[in-house]
Amino acid sequence: MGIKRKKIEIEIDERLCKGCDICVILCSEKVFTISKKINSNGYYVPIPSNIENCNGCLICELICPELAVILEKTELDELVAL
Amino acid sequence: MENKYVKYLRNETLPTEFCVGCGCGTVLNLFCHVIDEMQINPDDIITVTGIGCSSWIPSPYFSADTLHTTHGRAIAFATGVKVMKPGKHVIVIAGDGDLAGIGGNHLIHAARRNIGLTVFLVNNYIYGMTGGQVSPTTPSTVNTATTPYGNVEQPMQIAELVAAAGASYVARWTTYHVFHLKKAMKEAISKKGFSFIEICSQCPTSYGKRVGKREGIDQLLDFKENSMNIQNVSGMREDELEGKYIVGKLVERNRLEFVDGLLNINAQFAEGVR
Ligand SMILES: Cc1ncc(C[n+]2csc(CCOP(=O)(O)OP(=O)(O)O)c2C)c(N)n1
Ligand SMILES: [Mg+2]
Repeated sequence: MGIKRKKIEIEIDERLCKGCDICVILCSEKVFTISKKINSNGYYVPIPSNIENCNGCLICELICPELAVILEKTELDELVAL
Repeated sequence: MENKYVKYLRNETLPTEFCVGCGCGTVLNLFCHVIDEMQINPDDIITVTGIGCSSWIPSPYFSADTLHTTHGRAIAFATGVKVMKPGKHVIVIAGDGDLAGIGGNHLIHAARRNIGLTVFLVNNYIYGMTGGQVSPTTPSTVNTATTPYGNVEQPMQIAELVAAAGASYVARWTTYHVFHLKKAMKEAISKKGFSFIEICSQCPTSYGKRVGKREGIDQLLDFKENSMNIQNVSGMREDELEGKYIVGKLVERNRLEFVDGLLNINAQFAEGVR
């Protein structure tokens, strides 16, 4: 018996993000870091630099005021022992 | 990766005009998720709205048939739409100034008639769009553009008022409670009769700065720390609840829906009963 391991990918839509940093602060697993580089729209878009810590809770995707956080979970064939 | 919710928006209007960290965007985001998860075809939705920042959630952003009406009159227009198109989801999204202030009377009577509308009131405690004038929900401790020396008015508890007026479904959540709010939105859309959610939301530009919370996240953390579930507040005194956000479902009940009542009467005449 086991559950399928999940692979999680996160991307921030650079066209939509306004750098409010709500995702950075509310993520309990500290997945995002504040960017030091300003983008062409004039915003500091966060970087999902610690994706391996993500528990897939989805608060970043749901709370983003700009619909800019895209989170994708794919089930892998490998089983994780319980 | 593909942003799979943008298809629900009018793409040419993006990115939104909302201020950085505005709660209106979170309501828009959750609304898209809800429509996607409920597998509702946007062609079966008619959104109706009034005037204010929160009124921009359906117009221009969410892509469905939309009536962008005069200030305070969204529910009056929506009533007409629902009577003529009872099979559609008629959804009103607007602000505290719009629905509780200038449109307050329409709100009370739509709830009393229990007409099958879904109403999401985005309560940012202020007239956001026009620069921070006092609204009927502004706490009496807050100075605003029109009450610079102090607000002598008491805020109105709008969700309680709508519940007392007779709505079928009433809840209150904040933009911090995304999981609860998403579930409540689904319940409100599915519920027959008048359903209403007061969504406490942040407005860093016109409200937050007046209460020392200049960024959207500051008000979100206030919602997180100072919310209490409605099930845990019975017996608490008013002064103990000062500054608290009381969240949860206020009522869910089955009452005759207005259009059903009208159609029943019509059917009696069609069958020649009278
Ligand atoms: C009849 C009328 N009166 C006043 C106004 C000016 N006005 C525009 S938006 C607004 C207040 C909106 O407040 P609210 O509904 O809370 O929306 P918010 O911007 O806070 O989301 C007012 C008074 C108007 N457009 N029409
Ligand atoms: Mg308002």
